Amino acid sequence: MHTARDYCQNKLMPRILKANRDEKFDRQIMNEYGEMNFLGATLKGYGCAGVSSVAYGLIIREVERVDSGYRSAMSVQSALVMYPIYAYGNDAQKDKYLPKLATGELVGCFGLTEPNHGSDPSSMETRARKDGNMYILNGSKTWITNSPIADVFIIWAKDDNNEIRGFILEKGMEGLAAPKIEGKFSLRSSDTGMILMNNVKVPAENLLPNVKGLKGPFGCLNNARFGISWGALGAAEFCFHYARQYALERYKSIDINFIFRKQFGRPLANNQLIQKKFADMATEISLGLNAVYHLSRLKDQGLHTPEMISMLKRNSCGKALDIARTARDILGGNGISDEYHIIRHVMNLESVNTYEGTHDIHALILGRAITGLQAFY
Amino acid sequence: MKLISSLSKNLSHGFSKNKQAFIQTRYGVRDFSEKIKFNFEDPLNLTSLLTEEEQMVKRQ
Repeated sequence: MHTARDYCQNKLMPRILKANRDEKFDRQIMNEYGEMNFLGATLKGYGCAGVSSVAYGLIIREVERVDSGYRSAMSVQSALVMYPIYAYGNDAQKDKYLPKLATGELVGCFGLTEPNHGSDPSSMETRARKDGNMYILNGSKTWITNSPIADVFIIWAKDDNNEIRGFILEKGMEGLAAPKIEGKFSLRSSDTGMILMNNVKVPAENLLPNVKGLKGPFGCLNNARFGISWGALGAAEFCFHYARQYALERYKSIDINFIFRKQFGRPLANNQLIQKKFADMATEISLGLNAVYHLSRLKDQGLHTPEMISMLKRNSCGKALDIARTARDILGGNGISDEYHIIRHVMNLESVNTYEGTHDIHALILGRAITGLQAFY
Repeated sequence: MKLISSLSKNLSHGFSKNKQAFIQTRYGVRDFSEKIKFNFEDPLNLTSLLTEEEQMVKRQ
């Protein structure tokens, strides 16, 4: 029996320290995700598992308990590549791409964010000009998870009618490049890059036919945000459990003659300030998990709204980041060493709090729903 | 660095059975953990709401 937790703890956890240090993603992991049926797990057919949203969330939570970068690579493939092909593509596109994406034979990425347009994708500059039975794509995308290793690129661009449309591009098309962004201090275990398009000729049959406008990419983002609302709490749980264990056992370091400080003669965990931190962590994690569980059940019944997802993506990320920072504090100086893992989660969660709609943008989505007044611009 | 690795490894192995006795004998701290039924890893018992398949998150 291969449970998600077993796989993540036995196969992913031993690799993460070096992957994070070397800023290198192991491409083989995508094949392992495929073997575990993690990819496109909620989709039905095409070799996908067809599990419930709760099961999908639990898988994501286990992967992100190890590392947000590993989770990012997985959820981009599922929510931002396989989902749009599944939801907006025609049968030929589904048959061609989904089975190979499900096994990890192909890796995909999703190009929406541009150098000049992050939270405002409606102002995108990437264009798709119709030319006979081809589209000619020009523009650039940035902060694209998986782009340097991608075989398939879901690209959002404005057509001749100024409407946003989705296109499937393939590695090797002339004029298409995906350079890696080096020097990240966050999500170092996954590859992030740009997508540069210079007169890329894309066959019209690669247009996603069943969606127009921002609802296309936003439909994908809602699924990705839903996954993040589970995943961030997995990272928070790791930090909480690790800090708790550390606070209970730190005094034992006296026995191995490593650190001689007694911490006032008792375990760190025996201090009121530490216990208060743990009480807050456990409360926020538990409330968050119960909320995403409830949302998952609503999602499977078609009773959810995008605002619900915004609320929980925002809550999970903000709370997870706060928990990770507090856990780092409990570990004292050791908290900044990557061998103790928590600082890696802190750095990762800075990105997770930002991508797929920043903490502030989700506040504006909720604010609009609460007041009826949009305050984006 | 090797010592740090060693300590880090120890920390990831969960509670040692000697821990409780060690706390009591060395510091005289009373340990309540044996008497408390609260599960800090799942305080509101979310697990009880999951289907069997979801609890396993198993390979399909």
